[in-house]
Order: sequence, then structure tokens, then C-alpha cells
Amino acid sequence: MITEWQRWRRWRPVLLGMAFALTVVLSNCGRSPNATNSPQANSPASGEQTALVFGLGGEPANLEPGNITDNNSIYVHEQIYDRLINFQPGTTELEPGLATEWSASDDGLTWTFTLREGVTFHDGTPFNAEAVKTNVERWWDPASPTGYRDAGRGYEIWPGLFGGFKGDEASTVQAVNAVDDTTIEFVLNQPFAAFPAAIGSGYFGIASPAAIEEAGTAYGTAGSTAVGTGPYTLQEWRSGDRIILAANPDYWGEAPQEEQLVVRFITDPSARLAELRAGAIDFTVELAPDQMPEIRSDSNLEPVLRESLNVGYFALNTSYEPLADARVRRAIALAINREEIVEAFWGDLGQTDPHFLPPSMDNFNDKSLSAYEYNPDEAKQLLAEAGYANGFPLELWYMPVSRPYFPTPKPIAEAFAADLSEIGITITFNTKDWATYIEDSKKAPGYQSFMLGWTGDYGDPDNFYYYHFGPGGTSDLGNWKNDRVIQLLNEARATDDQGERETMYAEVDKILYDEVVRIPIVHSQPLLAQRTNISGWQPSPLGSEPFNLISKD
Amino acid sequence: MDSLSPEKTIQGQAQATTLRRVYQQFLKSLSGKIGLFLSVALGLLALLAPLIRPYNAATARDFSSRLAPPGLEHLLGADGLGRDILTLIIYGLRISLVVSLVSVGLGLVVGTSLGLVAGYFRGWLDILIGWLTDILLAFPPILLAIALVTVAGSSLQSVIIAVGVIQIPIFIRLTRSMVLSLREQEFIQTVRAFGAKPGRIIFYHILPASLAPLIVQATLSLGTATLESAGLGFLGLGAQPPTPELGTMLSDSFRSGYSLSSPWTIVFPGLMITLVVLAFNLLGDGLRDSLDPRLNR
Amino acid sequence: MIRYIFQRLLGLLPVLLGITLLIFVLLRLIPGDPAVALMGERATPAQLDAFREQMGLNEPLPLQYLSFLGNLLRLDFGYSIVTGIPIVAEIGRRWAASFELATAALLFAIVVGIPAGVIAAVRKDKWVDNLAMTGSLIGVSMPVYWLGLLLIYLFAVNLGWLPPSGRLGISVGSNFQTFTGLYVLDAILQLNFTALIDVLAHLVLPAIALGTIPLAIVARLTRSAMLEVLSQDYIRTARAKGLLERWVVLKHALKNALLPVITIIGLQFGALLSSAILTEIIFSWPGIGSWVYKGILERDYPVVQGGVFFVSVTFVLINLLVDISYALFDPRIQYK
Repeated sequence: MITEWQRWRRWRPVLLGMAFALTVVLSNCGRSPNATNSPQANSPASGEQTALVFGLGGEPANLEPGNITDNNSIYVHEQIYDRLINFQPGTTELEPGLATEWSASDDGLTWTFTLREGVTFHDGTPFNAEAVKTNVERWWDPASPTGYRDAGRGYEIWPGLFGGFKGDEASTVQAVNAVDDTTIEFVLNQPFAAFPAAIGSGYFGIASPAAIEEAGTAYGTAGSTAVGTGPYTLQEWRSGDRIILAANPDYWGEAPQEEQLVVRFITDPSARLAELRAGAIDFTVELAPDQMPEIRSDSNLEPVLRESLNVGYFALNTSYEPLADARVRRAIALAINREEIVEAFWGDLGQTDPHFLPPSMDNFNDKSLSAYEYNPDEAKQLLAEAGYANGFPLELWYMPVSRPYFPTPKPIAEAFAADLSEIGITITFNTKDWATYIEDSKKAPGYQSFMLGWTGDYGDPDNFYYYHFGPGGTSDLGNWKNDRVIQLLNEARATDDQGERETMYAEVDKILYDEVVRIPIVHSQPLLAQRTNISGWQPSPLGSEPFNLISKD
Repeated sequence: MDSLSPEKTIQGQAQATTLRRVYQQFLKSLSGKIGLFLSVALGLLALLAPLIRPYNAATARDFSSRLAPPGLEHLLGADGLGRDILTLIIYGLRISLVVSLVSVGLGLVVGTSLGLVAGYFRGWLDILIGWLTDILLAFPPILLAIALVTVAGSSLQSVIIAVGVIQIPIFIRLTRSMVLSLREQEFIQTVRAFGAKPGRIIFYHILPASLAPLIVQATLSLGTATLESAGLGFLGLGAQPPTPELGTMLSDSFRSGYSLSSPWTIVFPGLMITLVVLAFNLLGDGLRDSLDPRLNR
Repeated sequence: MIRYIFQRLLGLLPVLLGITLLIFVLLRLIPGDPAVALMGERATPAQLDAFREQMGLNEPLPLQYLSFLGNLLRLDFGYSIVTGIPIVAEIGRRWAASFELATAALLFAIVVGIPAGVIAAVRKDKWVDNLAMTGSLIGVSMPVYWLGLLLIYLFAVNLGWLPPSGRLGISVGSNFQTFTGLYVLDAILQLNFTALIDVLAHLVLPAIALGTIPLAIVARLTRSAMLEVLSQDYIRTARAKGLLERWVVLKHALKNALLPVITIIGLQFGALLSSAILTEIIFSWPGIGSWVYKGILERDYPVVQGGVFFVSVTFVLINLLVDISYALFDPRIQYK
């Protein structure tokens, strides 16, 4: 029989423990306000490492080059690896990376890269042409022994940018040769003017072949390693929480300013901004335009803008009968008040124009085109001419996730719908979660109308046009196809003559303007923010950049 | 013949006195009265919404009052499309009430039927249904709902079904235990001895007698169902626009990043959810006090 | 007693089997695949077939189920498709985070809820009682994520008293080792009090958000159990003997009222572990619920299979433990 006192004694330590915990917490509460108001809130005590803390929009999938395409992975990837070609900070201009020089043969079929000497990977493995070849073969050659394709590796981005894998008919690349220790050569099946830019796009960091071999199929995952030549080395990956990177003292470029880079995974933009305001992170990305007032209202923060290299569009599927008529598609373009919508949802952070290409590639656009003016009356008239005077029902698909080009897809879709209902088109909204959204958009007959967009991998029109309007790119538009566009895209891809390319792409621009299948809605500037004691951050229009130039006072 | 059977008229009289007693008991319960008042008020607000604040969901949009703070024009402020928050939460209330009523109704009907069958017939049916109940209870309800909506696609119907499914097991349990205790009682034994068919016994005798705890549970479940459907909405798995849904309003504000700079977009929809759930909980409390004195705790 | 426990354990087997079946069926019904979830705009149709082939998704369904079951029996949960991490290792980490949060939330519920319930019962129908009961009703009626957001904005962003999210601040991050995954315990073991304070500070807001509903339940139940006990004869006798009211309440009444409260606390613990998804999302808490949710969105089948199975098993086992302890402590309950 247990007496009451014994029972109480059993409870007492628990109660005392809780009282202690509460005291500790309360005493901590009293202290922190001072701490958070000071810019030094999170600098550790003297003698400890200095750390830069980055708020990332989610956990990276993995850190294996060529096998990742999601933004979160690319950000961290960028810190650990270098690519053959870099982009000048804040631009899409090429500059030497691990390759110091590059040139094409006269027929445009052979690209030769001279490699930087004296570079070693974080694990001590020397960097040379063989290492590059091993990396490229992993992505390109299905028979590569370290490609681990049987373990589920897909390297889908490679055929996305280079036509196909080794042995595929459409493969741009025919052979990769290590000519000598510091020279690597790519032999192509057809000329590809943007080849250096494409191989320099964020996916293709060069990893240590020794590390890949040692880690096997686990390479790049949270439980394993990721070894490159970049400004930071991977120190620890706490899944679900953070990645801790250490400065690489032997970096061939400009060594990082801070000894440590901590990358925290915080999914929601509101939460990221809250962390930034509380001083628990130093800088962050992928904020929503509507957070601008909040950033401006906090004197410890400042907004940082990324130059726009994207397009958010509204696509019309011609396999849905009313939309087969170009007049109807044009009516829709006239009925959506793009100026007003962009002004409301983006403010200064977005611009609308008639072109699919972002403003920084304006030299490839047909400048004679003027935007579709908002004109519901003309739209109604066009609908009447096409035989839809009373309108028609239309399914509108919006994506369930925030993308750089459409940070808040749902309210934007609602705004489209409100405009379209003015000309008698009644909208039914649909969405699916992101995985299914993309997958089903490509299944015949596709969605009647949907929102989607594109962010450039490198600064060439080919990257925007070929995927969407090229020979294989229109499965989501029903049977829409334009032979002239395909011909122009193929020709422009092969030539290196800037003037010729400008003319050809301008014609593409004009045709697409008249066809109205993917209506460009916005070119948006992604919003980033930092605490005021952070300096040296130059956001790249390509969506991510190395952080070695950033310092913290 | 049937309608004149003596057992029924006796029961009818008994029911009448019970009702009077219940009513008197209910009047004694303060939380019950407040709950009833709140529920009726919210119900009326939802029903009369088109009269009180006419609103066309398809065309509503006014960028000039985008994120306007509470004021004369918009009493509770405006959202990211410049829509009046007060109007939106009233219409959101309609949706919320429909979803919780239909899904709890679904859970109640399916759960009670299964519980009656399991409890009355026992045997392998009971084992099978018991097994299903255990599985459903062990599966984290919110994950089950998320998975179901993902399978069925984001829409109001999917939410109703998903939330309905996770209400089922508690009704099975409750009904089954009621049946088990009732079926051994004298008046059921008597009826059975007179040769009444199982269906008749279940519907005329057992079901009415187990109604009280079922009603209490259903009222309380309305509260949880409201919370769960709003939670799905917050995860972006709920109703499609232009249907205004309270959880979705919270998520729109949170995800668009103006929840802090325009707090009215998050405070009022959340308050409305709380109010609805509170009304159901109070009402459930009051009903429990009056319907089921044994449970009066 | 041992026989009772054994029987109950045996009875769990069909339930566990049913859970695996439910998980399997649900996953096969969900459309979409992980390659596309990650590739987004850049996905091409050709990848889908290749993926299905690799994942063995083209085999007959019963065969797929059997191999899934076989792997479970060997405790082989496989690897995450998206991250490549072994599921078992990840469950360990996530579980520790969830466990810590649920414990903190429950502690909060107990520390505030039981005294509130006792006071309310002793002062029945007085203003304290009304206040406590109204408060608890509002507590069970609030959406957790809404409360969480309000807490963050008030205490983290505006007042700056507490960190808004996560488990650990940066200043202690790099030299803090984790052995158990329970950061509070780890900090104590290393006698690292800076870290302990930091970890506790990170726990406060999510624990309050998650603990509010159990707090309300505990308070209400304590009150009603106390009322029942206080109305019983032996309490009246004790009072009649002239014992101090406080003594009566503490010594006699609370002791007897605690049993149902402890039961409900146990059940709440199981529920908290599995259904903290929304709290975890709001507070960027790396727990098991948000992990499985992410797994569903990314179509990461092994994560969903392993995570849900593990959570369900824990839930069932905790309920069993509650039942057994109930049987142990309450002589009125008979077990065969």
C-alpha cells in the first residue's frame, strides 16, 4: 500500500524540476530583448568562430551535382562546388571558373576548355581534366561506373539542357576528351553557341571523383559527404534543421569573409522574416513582395533585390475548343488587366511587357510590339466574332506553391478570374499539389488554362524558348505547334552571330505575340533581405550565388 | 397494427417526459444557454449572409482598397485582393458550418450504423468492425485526412469526406458500447422474446435509447471537425477559390507574407474559427449536462 | 497480469497489419512522383517511366505489398527517395524532436492544468472557477497554428523575448554535440548551461501552442474528478473531523482524483506525438509529423511508409501502456 506521502514524494522532483525550468526560461526572457536589439545578437563570444547565418526556404534534397534542380539544393551546392564557367557577380556575363579560357572550333563543333592549375578538392584530391571528365560522364554517360543509375540517379537536367544522354539521337554532346592534364574538350553533334553558358549553369559543379567513389550511392545525401573546390566545405548536415559549412582557407578565388556559414531551413516566408527580424538569421531569400513594407519598417533590415531573369505566364491550351480560335486567346489577353495586377501584387518588384524573354534580354525582342492594352470592350467584340458572345466556362489551374515568378499564385489566379468574368468567361479554379500539377499538365489533353513560369539557367534566349516552343516542348498546350518557330529556334541555336540571332529571336517574339498561347504576365524581381550589418551580397539574376564575398560587421 | 402496438405508446409518453426534463436541465446550464445562443446566432448569420452582405465571389476584387486597415469602409479591414474581411469571414462561416455539419453527419451515420451492427450481431462482424476501428484510431487523424485529400484532389468535397472519415471510429466505439449494455437490458430482452426482428429492435428500441450520448458526441465532434477542416485549409488542401474558407484565409495571409504588416487578415478569420468551435463546445457541454446526467462532470 | 499484457500485445498484431495495408493502399492511390516534385518546371514525361521502373512500381500490387511487408519485418525501412538518408536514422532524429516537444507541451499542460482544475473545483461556481473553465473552453476551441502565429508575433517578433522558431540558436550551434537527440538532456549531460537556456527558450512557444488543448482538457478533467471526490462520504467525514480544508483537498481528494487525469494525460501524449504537424510547421520544428507531411507532398514513399508506421505503432503502444497501468492502479478494473 502506497501512502499519500510516498505519492507526493514521487511527484515532488517533477514539480521542482518544472519550477526550475520555468525559472531558467523566465530569467532568459528578461535578457534577450537587449540582445536582439543589438546587431551583434548572434555573434558568439570572443575567441569563437564568426558565423554567417543564412535562412534558406527549405531543406536541400541533396548536394550531388547534376542530380539536383531544386532551388534549395542549388543554393548550398553553389557554396561547395565550382563550375567550369562562372557568371560575373550580379550578371549573366561569363567569367572564368575552374576553366580559365574556352573557345570553339570554326565549325562550332568542338569546345576546348583550359583548366585552372593548382586547385585541389576539399579532400586533397587534385583537380584536373580527368576529374572533369569523370564528372561529365556521370551526368551524360548511362554506363558511367560512378553514375549509380541503378540506385535511382536520373541526372534529368542533362538531357534538359543538352538534348540527351550518350547514345541518344538528340544528344548535343558526342564525346568528352581529357586532352592533357589541363585541357578538356567537348565534341558536339551540332553547333550549340550557348554551350559554355549551359555547362556553367548552376547544376554542374565539379565534385571530387575520389569522394564520389568512396561515398558510393550515398554521395551528396545528408548522411554522407559533398566535396568540391568551392569557397566552403561541408562540415555537418543536421537533417530537418541546418547545414554547417566552414570556410575553405585554400580557396583559389576570394576566400570567405566569415569562418562559418550556417544554412538554416525555414520553409515559410513569414517565418523567415520573423527570424530575420529577431536576428536569428543574417540574410534570407524568397520573400514575398507583400513583405516589403515590413522589411522597410524595421530599421535593422534592408531589402535586397535580385535582377529579374524569369517570366510568369498564363498558358492557354488550344486543344480546348474555344481556345483553338486565336481571336478567343487574344480576347483573354486583352481582358486581363496586367498592369493593375502586377502593380497590386508586385509593386515595384514586377514589370509587365509583351515579351516572353525577361527585360535583360531585350535586345532579342521585337521592340515594335506593344503590350496588350487592357480593353474588355475589344475583348468582348473578339469573343462575339469567334462565336462566344455569351462567354464560355474555363478551368484555370494555379500552382499550390510559391515560385520566384509567381510568389502568391492563388490570389493572382483569383484576380485573373475576376477580370475574365467581366467578359463572360466563367472560371473554375483547380490546383493539385506541385508534383501532380506539373505531371498532369503534360498529360494529354492537359489543363485548359494554367499558370506557370520559368527562371533562366543562363542568360541566353535559347534557355527560355527551346523548352517551351521547341520541337518537344508543347505537350502542355495540346496540339499547338509552330513550324516556323521551331525552325528559327534550331537555327538560332546553331549560329554564333549575335546580329543574326537577334533577328531570328525577334521574329520568334512576334509570332508568339500573335499566337497568344503563353501570355507573359510578369517579369518579377525576387525579394531578398538582409540585416543592415551584412555587406557584399550581390544577388545573381540566375537565382543563386556563392556567399564568399559577404561579410558581417 | 404496428402503430398501435402498446410498447410504442408507452415509450412515446416516456419520451415526452424525458424531453421536458431535458429542457429544464438544459435551461439550468449556463454554458448550454450561451452555446445555444452563439450557435443560433452564427447559424442565422450564415443563413442570412446574402441579405446582410451581398457578395459575388467570382467578381469581388478591388485593388484600391487592397490590405486596407479596419475602418469605416471595411469594418474589419480588407485582404490582398481588396475584399472585405467581414464579408469573407461571414461567407467563410457558411462554408465552415456546411463542412462540419456534413462531415460529422457522414461520420455519425456510417459510424453509428457500423457500431449498431457490431454491437448487436457480435461475431465476426464485430471483430471485423472492431479491427477497422482500431486501425483508424491508431492512424494519426490529421495525416489520414491529408493523405485522403491528396488522393481525392483539393476540393471542398474531399475535405468533407476526409474529415468525415476521421470522425467515424469514435461513433463506432460509442454506439457499440451503448448497444452492448442495452441489448442485455430487460425491455430489449422482452421485445426480443416477442419475436421482433433485429432491424426493428435496432431502429425502434436500441437506437432511440442511445441517442442522447450520440447527440452529445456529435455536437462536440462538430467542433473538432471545424478545427480539422480549417487545418486542412491552412495547409492549402481545402476549398478552391472563389469559395472563401477560414483556414485558407489564414494560409493566404501567412503565405503571402502580409500577416504581420496587416494583422487583421489573420486575427479575424482565426477569431471566427475559435467562435464557431467555442459555440459547438459550449452547446455540447450543455447538452451533456442535460441529456446524460451520468456523464455530468 | 503478465498474461493480460501478453494477450493485449498479441491483439495488436492484426491492427498493425491493418495499418500497413492502409498505408500501402493510400500511397498507391496518390498520384504523382518524386522526380517531378523536385524537377518542377523542368520535368519531362520520359523521366516518369524510368522512375516507375526503378521504384518497382510496375510490379503487381500484391507482390509490392508483400515485399513492403517483408522489408518491415526485417526492420528495413529503406532510404528516402529525395534525400537518400536511411529512414531508420531519420526516424530516430525526428522522433527525439517530437518527443521533446510533446513532453514539454504536456508538462506545461500539467503544471498549469492540474492546479487550475483543483482551484476551480474548490472554488466551484466562484469567479476563479468560471474564469478557469471559460479559459479552458476557449483553449480547446482555438486553432493551434493560429495561436502559434500570434505567440510568435507577440513574443518573438514584437517583444523579442523568445526565439521565433527552430530548436537551437546559432551561437551555441557549432560546439553543441547531440547524443540522445533530446537537446535538453544533451545540454544537461554536457553541463552546457548556455545551450540549456537556449534550448529551453526555443521550447517555450511551441510547447505553449501545442500544450494549450491538453491543458484545457487536463484542467476540466481535474476539476470534475475533484468535484466527484469532494462530494464523497469520506471527504465529508474528514471535514467533519475538523481537518484543515487545504489538507483535505491535497491529501485526500487530489490523490483520488488524479487517476483519470493521469489516464487522459497518457492518451494525450500519444496524440501529441502524432498530430503536432501544424505546430511543427509553424515553428520549423524538425519533428516526425512535418517530416511525413513533407514526404506526402514530395511523394517520398519510404518516408511516408516508415514514418506513419512508426507513429502508429508508438500511438498503439502508448495506449496499451495507459491501459495496463490503469489496470494496475485501479483495483476496480478486472483483467482476465
